[in-house]
Amino acid sequence: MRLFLLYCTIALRNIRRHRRRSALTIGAVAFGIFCLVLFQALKQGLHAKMIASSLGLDLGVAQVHAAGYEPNMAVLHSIPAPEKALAALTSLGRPWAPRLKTPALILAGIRSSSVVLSGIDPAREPTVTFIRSRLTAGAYPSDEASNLLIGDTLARTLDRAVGDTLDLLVQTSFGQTTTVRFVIGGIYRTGLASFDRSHVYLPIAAVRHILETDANAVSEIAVGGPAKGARRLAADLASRLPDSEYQVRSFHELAPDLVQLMELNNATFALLVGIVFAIVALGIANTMTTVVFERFRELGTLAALGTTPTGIVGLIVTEAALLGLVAAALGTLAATAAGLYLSHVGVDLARFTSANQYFAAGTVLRAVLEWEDVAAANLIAVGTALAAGLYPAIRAARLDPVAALRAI
Amino acid sequence: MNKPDTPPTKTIVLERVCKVYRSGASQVRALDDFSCTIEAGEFTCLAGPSGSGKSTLLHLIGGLDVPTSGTVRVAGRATTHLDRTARALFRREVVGFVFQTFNLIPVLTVAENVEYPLLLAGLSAGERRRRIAKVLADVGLADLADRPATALSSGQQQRVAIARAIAPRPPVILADEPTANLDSTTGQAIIDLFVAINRQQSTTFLFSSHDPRIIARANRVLWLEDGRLRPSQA
Ligand SMILES: Nc1ncnc2c1ncn2[C@@H]1O[C@H](COP(=O)(O)OP(=O)(O)O)[C@@H](O)[C@H]1O
Ligand SMILES: [Mg+2]
Repeated sequence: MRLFLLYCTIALRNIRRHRRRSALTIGAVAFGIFCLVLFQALKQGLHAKMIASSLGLDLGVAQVHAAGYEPNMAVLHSIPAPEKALAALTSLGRPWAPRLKTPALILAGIRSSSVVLSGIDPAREPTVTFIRSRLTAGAYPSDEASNLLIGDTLARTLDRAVGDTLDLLVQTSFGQTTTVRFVIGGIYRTGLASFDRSHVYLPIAAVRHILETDANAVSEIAVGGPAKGARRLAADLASRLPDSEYQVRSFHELAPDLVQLMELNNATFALLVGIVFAIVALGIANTMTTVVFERFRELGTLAALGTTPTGIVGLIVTEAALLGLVAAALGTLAATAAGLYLSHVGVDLARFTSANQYFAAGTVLRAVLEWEDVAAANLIAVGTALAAGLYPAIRAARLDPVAALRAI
Repeated sequence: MNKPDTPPTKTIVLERVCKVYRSGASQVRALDDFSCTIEAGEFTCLAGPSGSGKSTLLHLIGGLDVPTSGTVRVAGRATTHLDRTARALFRREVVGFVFQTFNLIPVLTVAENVEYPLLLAGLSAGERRRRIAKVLADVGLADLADRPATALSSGQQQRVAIARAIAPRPPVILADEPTANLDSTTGQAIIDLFVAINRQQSTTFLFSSHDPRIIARANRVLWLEDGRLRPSQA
């Protein structure tokens, strides 16, 4: 133990003695760790933002549908006995919102366009999605008035304002088409033109009425709350509902494109981690090789005094690990400071990217520092330093002490 | 550990030792069928011109190297078939080295340099402290314990090296031209120190030199020439 402390002393004093070289090595390694920790925090922030946007726009954390449901079905697929699903959801302690979704055609001459008409529970829907907070005119749907909420892109395309009317063509649950006229009660804007053009909302009671469904018909239940643990939540919910009647999907299955994009990010990041640690390893291996060369005689003396080859390996690896440790500490300190700053101030991505669904909830990217990520970066850095020191250390242990002592 | 198989009084026994260095096609016979015995407590000088094989002999006795043929036994232990780790442990326990160029660890203080072999020997903190104080007093450097080793004069550095060599109390001290980098007064003082330690602790001393005034101080002189003892001695 005391011998190990002496090795640390020797290593530290040698690191101090070669100030410039040590500073360069430590600086390079620290910079690598700084970049990794900060990029990881930004990536986490980006993913959090992408998830929040996708989930808050429409998806929710998970959704319950009738068994056999697929997106883009033209025929209404109601959830059987929705009260059973709702009871299961209530026991989870998560916010949820029932919906009755149907494709619809807005009749406006040559500007006619197809949209998704969502019947929503005006009180519950805002606990899952953020559309209510994006009103630019009028009011959010309410149970009192059967007014239509449309996106501002659609409003502008059709040249309509709050108070104007709009004709919707829908197919009832019996398969007949029917046209209904609604007053526009509100206009929202998410900033995502394609979404704002194609999503319109009514109170769920109004949609049930025009589709001529049961009084409690629901085609989809979206679950809100934090995105973390979505898969477990979906599995938990699925276990409480019979497979033959219901299907539960987490947002991973509902939005595979989102998951794929995050996986792509992770893979790119892993490549970056590999490159940075290769550089860390090369930097430390290079420094330690020089150290072994410079201290050839000293190593011969230590061997003459009875230091075993293992002891010599220990001495050199200790010095490499200390370089890595000091660098990791400095890099982590700087990255934590920068990460905390960026988690409060954020980076406005609006300057770098055009509007897309992943930033609909806001374009300011905030870093998310997770202590596991910081710990992992440090662990890998020190591990890499150790491994990089091993090769020069083994070479040092294999040196012929006689040659070392004869060298002048 | 191999058992002592020579009487304890014969501390160093070399039997028909050859050491051949090969570099490419050429061969150098640094030691040629060399035999000799050194008794415990002897104060012996290896004398001879440069290239006569003095360093080679000291390296073989000290377990830093192994002979091409023949056997080397020190304190009853043969080094010939030991691996690197076993030879390191042999050096730790059996010999203390003093070098021509002192070879202190530059980043350590005087006391830390002396402590190093004591740490290898696994001595307790208290025992280490006592030994360091004792040997530094013996070599006359008690006041300089906390100085950086390299801040000392050549003569003082060699005294630290001697303190480092004797601190673990090895039976044998090997010194390869210990006075060659010192002026003659300082060199004589170093030999005085050797003599004193040899008398007090009956440690076996074997040192090499080609300086007649140093050679003259030894109780016994082994004259080397081309890897053999001089004919007059053999
Ligand atoms: N590694 C080596 N390779 C080749 N020849 C060597 C090597 N080491 C020593 N020698 C040769 O062995 C002989 C004895 O050397 P050495 O023991 O250093 O003598 P001394 O210490 O008496 O000057 C010399 O001729 C020297 O050149
Ligand atoms: Mg020599």
